[in-house]
Amino acid sequence: MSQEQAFEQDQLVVFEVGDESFGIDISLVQEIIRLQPITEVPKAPMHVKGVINLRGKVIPVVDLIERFGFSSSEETKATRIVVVNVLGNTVGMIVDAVSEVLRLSIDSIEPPSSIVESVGSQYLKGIGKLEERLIILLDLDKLLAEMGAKAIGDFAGLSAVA
Amino acid sequence: MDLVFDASPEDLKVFVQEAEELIQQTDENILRLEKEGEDPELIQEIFRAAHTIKGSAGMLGHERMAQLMHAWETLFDKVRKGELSVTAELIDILLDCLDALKVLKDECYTLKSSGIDIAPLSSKLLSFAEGTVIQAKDDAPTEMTLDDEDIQAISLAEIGGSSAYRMVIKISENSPMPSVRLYQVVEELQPLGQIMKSNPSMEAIENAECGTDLELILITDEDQSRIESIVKSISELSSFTIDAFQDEAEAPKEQAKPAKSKTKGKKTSETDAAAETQSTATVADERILDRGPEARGKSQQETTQIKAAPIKTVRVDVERLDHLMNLVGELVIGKTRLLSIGSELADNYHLGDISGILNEVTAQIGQITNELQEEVMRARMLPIEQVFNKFPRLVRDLARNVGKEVNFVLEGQETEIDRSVLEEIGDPLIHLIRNAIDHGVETPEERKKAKKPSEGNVYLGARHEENHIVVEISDDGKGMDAQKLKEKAIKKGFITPEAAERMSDRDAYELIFLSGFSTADKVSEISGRGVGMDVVRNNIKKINASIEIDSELGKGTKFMIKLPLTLVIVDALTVVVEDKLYAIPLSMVKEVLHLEKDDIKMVERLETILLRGSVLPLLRLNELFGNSGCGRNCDDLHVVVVGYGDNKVGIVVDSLVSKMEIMIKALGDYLGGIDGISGATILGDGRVALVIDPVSLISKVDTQRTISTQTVDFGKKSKRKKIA
Repeated sequence: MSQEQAFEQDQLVVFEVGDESFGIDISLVQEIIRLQPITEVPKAPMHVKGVINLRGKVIPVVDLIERFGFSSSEETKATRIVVVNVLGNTVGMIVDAVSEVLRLSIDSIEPPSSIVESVGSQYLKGIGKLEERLIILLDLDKLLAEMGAKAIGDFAGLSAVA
Repeated sequence: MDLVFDASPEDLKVFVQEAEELIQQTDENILRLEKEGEDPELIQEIFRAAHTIKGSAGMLGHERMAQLMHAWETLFDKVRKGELSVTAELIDILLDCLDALKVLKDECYTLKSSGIDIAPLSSKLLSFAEGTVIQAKDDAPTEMTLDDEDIQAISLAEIGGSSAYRMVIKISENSPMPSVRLYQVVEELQPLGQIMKSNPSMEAIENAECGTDLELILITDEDQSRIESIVKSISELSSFTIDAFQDEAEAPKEQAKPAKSKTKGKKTSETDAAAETQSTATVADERILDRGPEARGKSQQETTQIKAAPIKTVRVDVERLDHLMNLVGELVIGKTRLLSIGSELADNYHLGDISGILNEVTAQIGQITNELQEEVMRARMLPIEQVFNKFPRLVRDLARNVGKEVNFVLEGQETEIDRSVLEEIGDPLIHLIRNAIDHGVETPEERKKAKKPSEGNVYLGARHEENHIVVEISDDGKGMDAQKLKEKAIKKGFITPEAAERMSDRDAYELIFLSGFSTADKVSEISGRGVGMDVVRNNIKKINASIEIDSELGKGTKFMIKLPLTLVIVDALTVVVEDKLYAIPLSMVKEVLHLEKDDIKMVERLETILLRGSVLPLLRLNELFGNSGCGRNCDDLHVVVVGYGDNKVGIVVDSLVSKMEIMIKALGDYLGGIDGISGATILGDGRVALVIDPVSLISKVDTQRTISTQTVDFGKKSKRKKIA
């Protein structure tokens, strides 16, 4: 472990939602695209905005802005969809802006504390410190799994049993 | 435990494919053997297949498989030589072996030991071979020593107008007292005429000094069918055969080894050579798992012989075909997009010639795309045989398990259908066929009481019909009792007695699709847990197909499944509802209506209209999908009537856009299944439109109708009044 840590540097894609910066592992990111017309899907899970056409593929899009409790700000020129591959699904995430790609050495990452209020701590991998900035590292697996149909499906299953 | 084979992954793949084919072929051949009797060519074919598998298994180092096949060969060699007759037990053992073989074959995929122990099976095979051989030898002297006097007596009797029959009767091994049963056989047969000779002898039977088998020659005036029915009435028989006795002097000898002599006569030089190879190979393989170079060489030779027929096909990985289909789908979308750009250019810009040329090129590309699409689709087509093949075996096993006699008829196996559909259709068909045998066909006794032949008929057929494949499953069993179904539904609380009263028979049959509804009074091992039919319907819904039931009490039940030719590219009607585009598969669209607001009648909060005298419930997509429902005030309404059979529903839309080809794309797990939506498609302008799933909309209305006491049925009632 220690050996790995010594060499490991996380490469992160950093994006902004509201006034906070979030980082995700670059290997999960397929591409970053401009905001596109989104086709709403009725009765979709709550934070799923709908589907878009990604070069012939239909992929679901979730709204992180809404999920993190920021009032859905106006679309700006900076608004992007970050397309990620998580849990065998290709999912787009709407974010306010994508700022940069940066390297973060493992030892500048701190375990999550309860300071961050906007995101439940179960979706946090840690807090990255970079000079004066704090970057919230997201556990996308958990976050997107919660936002997708799985959680909803479980809920429906429960109610069916009852 | 991990398995290691002496072969590259590529070789393994080839072996598995080959083995799969051979196993399937053998499976069919064995059933044929049971049905048609000992046809030397058939036996040869089974033998050859087993030999090939053994050879390749040996080469790979799949020792257990080789061992099993060796035992199989030993047994089958006896059959080939006519030393062993084909009996139900033999068939059972062979089928058990095939099942084990399938498991062993799968090990080549998984490279994990399945833990299956073949030792009992192979020893069973060998002991069966040995046991019966000894018996046959024992039988031989008694049977063969029909002395001249006997033969003379037989021919005299035949001159006198009687006939002689040679009968072989086997009592089931489970019978507690086989000798008593044999005695019963003799007792029953004696009044019919004279028992010339029997083995074991009459005295032996009377003294209970006999096994489970009896062979006898009966001279009688009765015809064969009468004898058959008498023998059949005795219980605990495992099998029996009745043949007319051949009156040539050498007949007994001929009878002893009919298979062999026939084989010799018919053998072509090629099979002769093959047989020789086999016999030497068998000798070589006596050292069971010693896979010497000699044995290897032989089996390779054998393999090449089988493959000698010229094959003009290429195996293509299914994934590659899927990808190809996807690409073609993209092309189709692109084509549609080009068309819309072309017409926009022509309409809005005065480009003159260039726009004309563009349209020309677009049309040409369109044509090529269409052709390409058709070809790729055809390449993905497989004969439905692939699914049907496993049913004869299934039916046989099931019928035996439940003690019913079933004549299974297969038709239209060559009908081609898209792979994606094929994969989904297997399970529903298994369910329906199980139901037909378990619930549909009655026991022989019940059938006799109902004055039907004791053998029930189960039919499975496929055929093309317009733009669909229709698969039909029918039986001539007891049919469904609409009244009983209704009572059950009331008892289970699915419907109220009032609703039941108004329900038509056809609607009552549909009740069996409700989850948790089971008509079987007793829960059997095979079906009747009430989890079957709703799963069937769900599976069928999933592939955009529909199912209809037709039944007549006492006459039988028929299920008709209408399958789409392909699941991927379909014709669709695009409509607009509140500025949102939706696509409706054209195959489900019955007609399009133009209505005025006043045409709509409210029946218990459900909008309905009268369409040519019948009631049509209306659905509003925006309300269904939880959007604001402000569209009700429009004066002009477009209604798209969708449905299958008698199930129809009208979808209210704001406007119709066009008919176009769409490629349905799944929404994926992430969004989960959404009621009323079967997927999405990308339109010519790149936008995504949702594809409506009419079947689930209809079932939605159906449930409302069935559960509610007074909704649409109310309307039906008033209609009847009007007619009266």
